[in-house]
Amino acid sequence: MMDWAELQHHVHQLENILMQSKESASIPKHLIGWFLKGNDVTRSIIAHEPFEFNYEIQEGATETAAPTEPVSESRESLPEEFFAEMEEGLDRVSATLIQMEGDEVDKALLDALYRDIHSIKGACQLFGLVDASALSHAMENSLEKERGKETVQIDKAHVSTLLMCLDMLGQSIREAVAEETRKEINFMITLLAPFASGVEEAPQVAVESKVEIKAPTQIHAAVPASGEADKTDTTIRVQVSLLDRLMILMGEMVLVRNQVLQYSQKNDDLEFLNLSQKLDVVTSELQEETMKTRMQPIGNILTKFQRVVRDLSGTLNKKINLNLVGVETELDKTLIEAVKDPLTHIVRNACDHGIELPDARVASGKPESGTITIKAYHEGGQVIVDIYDDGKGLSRQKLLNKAIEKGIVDQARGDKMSDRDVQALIFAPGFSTAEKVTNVSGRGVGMDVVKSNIEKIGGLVDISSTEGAGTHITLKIPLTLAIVPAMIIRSSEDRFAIPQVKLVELVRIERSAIEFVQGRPVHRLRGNILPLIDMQEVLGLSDEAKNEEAINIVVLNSESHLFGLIVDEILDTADIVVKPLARFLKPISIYSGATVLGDGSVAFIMDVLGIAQKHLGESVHQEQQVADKYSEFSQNNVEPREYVLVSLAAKAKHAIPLTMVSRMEEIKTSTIELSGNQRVVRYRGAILKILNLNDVLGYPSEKTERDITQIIVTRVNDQMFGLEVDQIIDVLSTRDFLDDSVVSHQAITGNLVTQNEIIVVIDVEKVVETIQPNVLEMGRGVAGPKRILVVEDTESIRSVVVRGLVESGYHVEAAVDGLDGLRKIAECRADFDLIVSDIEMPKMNGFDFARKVRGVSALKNVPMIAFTTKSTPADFKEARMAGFTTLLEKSKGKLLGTLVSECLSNYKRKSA
Amino acid sequence: MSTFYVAGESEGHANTKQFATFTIAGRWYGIDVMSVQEVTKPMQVTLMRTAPPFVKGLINLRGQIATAIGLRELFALPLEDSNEKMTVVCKVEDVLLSLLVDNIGDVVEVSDNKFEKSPQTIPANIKEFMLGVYKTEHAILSIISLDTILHQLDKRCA
Repeated sequence: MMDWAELQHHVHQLENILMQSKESASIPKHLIGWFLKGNDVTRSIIAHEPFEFNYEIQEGATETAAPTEPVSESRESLPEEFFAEMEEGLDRVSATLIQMEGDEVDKALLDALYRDIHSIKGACQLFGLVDASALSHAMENSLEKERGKETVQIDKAHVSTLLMCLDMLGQSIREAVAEETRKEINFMITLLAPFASGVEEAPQVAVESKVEIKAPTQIHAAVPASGEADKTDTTIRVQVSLLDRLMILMGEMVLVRNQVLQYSQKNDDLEFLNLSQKLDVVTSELQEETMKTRMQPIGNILTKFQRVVRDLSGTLNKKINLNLVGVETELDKTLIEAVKDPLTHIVRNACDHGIELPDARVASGKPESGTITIKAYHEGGQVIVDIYDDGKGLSRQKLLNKAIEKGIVDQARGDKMSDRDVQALIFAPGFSTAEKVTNVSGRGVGMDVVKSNIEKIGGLVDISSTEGAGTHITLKIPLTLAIVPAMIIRSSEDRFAIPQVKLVELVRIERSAIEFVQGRPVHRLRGNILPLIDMQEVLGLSDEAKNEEAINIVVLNSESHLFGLIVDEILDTADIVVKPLARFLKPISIYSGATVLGDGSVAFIMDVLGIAQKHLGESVHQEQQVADKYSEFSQNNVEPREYVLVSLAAKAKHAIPLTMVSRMEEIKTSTIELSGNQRVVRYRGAILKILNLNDVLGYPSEKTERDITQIIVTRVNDQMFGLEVDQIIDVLSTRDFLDDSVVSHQAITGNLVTQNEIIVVIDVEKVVETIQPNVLEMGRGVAGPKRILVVEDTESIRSVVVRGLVESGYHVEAAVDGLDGLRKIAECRADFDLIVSDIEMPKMNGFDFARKVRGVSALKNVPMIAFTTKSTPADFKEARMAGFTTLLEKSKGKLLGTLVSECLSNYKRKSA
Repeated sequence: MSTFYVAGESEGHANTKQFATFTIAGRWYGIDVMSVQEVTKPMQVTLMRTAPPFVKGLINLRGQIATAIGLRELFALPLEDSNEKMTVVCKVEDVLLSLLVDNIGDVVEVSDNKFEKSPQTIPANIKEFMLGVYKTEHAILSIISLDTILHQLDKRCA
């Protein structure tokens, strides 16, 4: 476990300082630098690195009073990229200066010089290198005067002074600034002042005394501390084309590996088998590492928005803060480039249309300055970028008026639409909500372009907004474009890959379940009409009559149109390497690329959007259908429940709640064995007990011997059971009322009364109890480690807590706020033995979260620990009211482990 | 790489060019040797449905994907006696093309003074792919322009 006390003390100090300036809208500049350093130290503590930090704040950092020691310490925690970038900048400046010396200078050259010095200054400011930033500022200033002129002549003295300053600048960046050096720097700043004369903002630096300047060569000779030299050497810059080539070769190697593996399996040579397995492992690792070379932190573009927002708030006379979270989140370089423009557009929109003018904000009881938060994080193999603003939000009425005016919807339909659908209108082509198109966000591109750009790279955009409170836009972006998870299907003799992001579900139906509307095939999927397209038709093959009774449908989503693609066979899922098609093949719009499959043959990647456009035609009508369908759904506040419909040896259909279904399998009856009286089957490396639902419910079942039987695999208290049914029919999504007045058997929950029929709902837990009465009482997770959910918004605390718990042998899921916690609960089917939650969190706080958790029946009694800084008796009471079992102060974090095991054993005793 | 050897025809001092030669339907064609990446036996082709007939499909060239082009179809030559036994893989403007041909010939070095424009009687469908002809000792070599092929592919697939 880590030393929590140290961390706690540190963060507490930071918090204290923050509290002091909580009331004022802005934090003084010198504090920001201090916090940046503080953050670095936090990181060092967590990484068990030595650190030193001065908790006394240096008032007025402009006095260049940053203490020598802490600066030098913090320098060690500066990112290596910073030094690499600075060295590059310095080299460029020096080259440019030498080029300029004496000659009449090209204006572009001067601009470049100015820009380079400016970016050095910016970076030094950001990382709190006070002396370096003051010096670069003076250098920048001295050039200011020349910049206005058409032709520039910089005299020799100026250039040489600049060069001298440059050496000093380099030194002050590389190593800590000693008192002696600081004096020299200050003197140099005064040397620059005459060149800047005429410029209003002269550097205001008090020259303490005249200092003898050492010759530049001497300064240059100052050797940087050896440790730092090593540090800058650990990164090198590489041509992107080289990395691309590496990726391609890597792809080829993976293919060769696959072929070797396939061949080795046919071969008896053990030695060869052994070697090929080694090759397999090494190749996989190599592939992973190669992928990483292309990954870059998203901060590379996010930090640029600081400037965008700052400039915009000036232009718009608004006060806007930009808050960046998760800048270290990495994704593929090409994707970073691809999301830059859409993100810029969203941020500009938020500044322009979202955040109100200061007066309006104050009038509506908000702080004067608005906040835009951009938060990036990894989730489920994707990068999620959340953009929140606390502005005026989207107005339903304004959106609707606009949409009706533009003819996107009509009044009648607009009235019926849910708020969410109305908000989604912003993505409709030709829509812009600003009453006037301003030069800030109205530049001929709308949110529809944002949406299509994000979707082009396989991502998703979503918007939600509360009028008056703000807007939240979510971008979901794949980690990389180069490798895509895909479903491999077969049609006739050919195999094709369909990207998983476009895939909604796979459906297998009887041929008779296809109906025709005006000659076009459709299928009623859970009551909604799903248009069908035959893959044969897409490929332009003759629609030869197939005799197979069962039909495979791949349900695809293309810009919120759902349609089903009829394919011959669904083969497998695979991570495929996307290869672009030759450019002249692009007009053939049904393919988006090609890939090489494991056996070395080439398969086309289907372009779902292209197929939809070609075969669904102008789908405005379609869009309305989908929209209507969704609004119907969302108007009804009851969440739909989903069931698997099965047929048994009784007339009525039976339903099993989908939440209880882990998998549906077809198994050969010959593989079923008898263990005592219990029928079992080997399943995924374990023994699966099989129960026939007809037997359990007492239906007369004819024991016809079938070769294949269908089972539904369910998981009760971490034990898997197979429920044998006569046939799996369909999946039903319904809001229909569950009537439990007529229950003929203890393993039946009740009846679903739908429009056409009555469906019997089965209680799976009760069914399982018939063969294993103690299954529910058995301590949860006997088979595996206890499962704990940790909900905490502060990343550092979260990772410390998670790491601590994982080290103690628990299985831990982490969530970033209450909402995310609920999502995790849903994902994990509420399978948690204990929940640890913070109280103060964005989006949904701990109290609300606890109340929601207690509403989930499976979690009614699960121990919940509030892990918080709030510890007054009132807080304690509120926590108990909300449903927390107990409360632990963060300052007593060390006790968390003990408390967790205590709670778990109490819980176990209680339920036993 | 290819196993071509240079056949003598070299005229010494005059500027010369090298062409990889092949035959289709008994006709002798040459393309700039520098754009040829390799010559292979035909490989397994994945058919590209809905594409024009001269796009034969895609092949896997050690992990890189090349588009197989039937020159017979592209040049509108008779298809009855199709006998494509070799492929010439070329790279034009970063596009990897695998041209299906009947037989591979030598690499021929010819001097510029043997060059002449295509005779006017050559039918338009093939003439537009030809840069001109070189008169060699035994036969007349028709030079094919890969740039034109790519341009025509762009045009005809659009």
